Amino acid sequence: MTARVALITGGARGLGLSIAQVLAERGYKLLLVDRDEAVYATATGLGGDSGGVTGCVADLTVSDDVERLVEFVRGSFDGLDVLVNNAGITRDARLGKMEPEVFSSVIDVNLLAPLRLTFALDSSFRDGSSIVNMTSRAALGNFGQTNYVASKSGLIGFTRGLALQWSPRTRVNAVAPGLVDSAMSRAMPEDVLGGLVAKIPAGRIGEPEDVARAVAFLAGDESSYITGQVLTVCGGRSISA
Amino acid sequence: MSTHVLRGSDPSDADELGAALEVAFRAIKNAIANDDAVVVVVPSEDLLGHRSPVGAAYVNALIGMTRAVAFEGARVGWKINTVAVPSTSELTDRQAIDAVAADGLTGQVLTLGTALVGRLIP
Repeated sequence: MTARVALITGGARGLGLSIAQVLAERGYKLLLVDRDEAVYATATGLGGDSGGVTGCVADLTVSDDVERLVEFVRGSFDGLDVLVNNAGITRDARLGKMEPEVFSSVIDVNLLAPLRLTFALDSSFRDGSSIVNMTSRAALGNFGQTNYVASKSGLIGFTRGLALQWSPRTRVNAVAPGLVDSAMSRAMPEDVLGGLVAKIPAGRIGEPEDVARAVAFLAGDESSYITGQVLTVCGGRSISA
Repeated sequence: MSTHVLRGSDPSDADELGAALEVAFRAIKNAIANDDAVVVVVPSEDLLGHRSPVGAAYVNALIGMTRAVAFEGARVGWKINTVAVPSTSELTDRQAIDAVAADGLTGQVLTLGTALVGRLIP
């Protein structure tokens, strides 16, 4: 049986790496894309000598890089089974202090880049393929994140619209993580982090693997009747008081 | 408090989407700075992507802005809501303002018409 092929953006580290690890364990052939050259070491570390994991450096806000990546996919694989639009940034500021270019820089990376890449890869998707867009619980609203919230909420809209347009060939879903253990969370003052965790009904911070397993579920055939949906992985925070 | 009505555009690709969102951001930021209430009017078909993926991205990004700004300004009285109406409707600005006039209503999406009854509403 031919291995399924998955492309993961922002795959050098963090959540992208965790997603890659889970998909690799499930036998996927991986293409990890990142702006950071560390993606090569990540790919080597994950795939060893198997050749099952390839790293690629690309800035997905640059059209030439997107074209080069699409050509690479066409030249390297018979088709694409899974796309995980994971790359994202934050540039927080209160509304009054957020300059338009700061707003748009986050929109560019978190919303426009996934749109452009997904459309550019259109002809590469196989029948039965799956797209998982990484959005955020913050899409429901968050302080000082007008740009980030808009980008992630916009990505949910894109998920639904594309799910309708590309059915039945390709399913399109989103995962919305809540607070997850990361470099960003570990940089928070202990009392601030503790206060946030106290509001999570599950009683703990999320682990990257919690999110990665949700992505793997939506990527694979176990979710073959699910499209256009958002799976919120937040330990119940989005329904708590 | 006067009210600023923002009627969205209809972007057809990523470039137009980015430009339209920045225009909306500037308008909302200016309105809030002027202590205006904000009503964002969007086509209800785009809430769930019934017209196009790009249109759905745009409308849902506007809803995200509505929620983020409401979240940030709830304690100081900022008022911003979204009214979703069928694209065939000829809703006037006055009607849009009246639809979300209730005291304390902010950060909400009010969907007019019946097309989305029984559907998941963002």
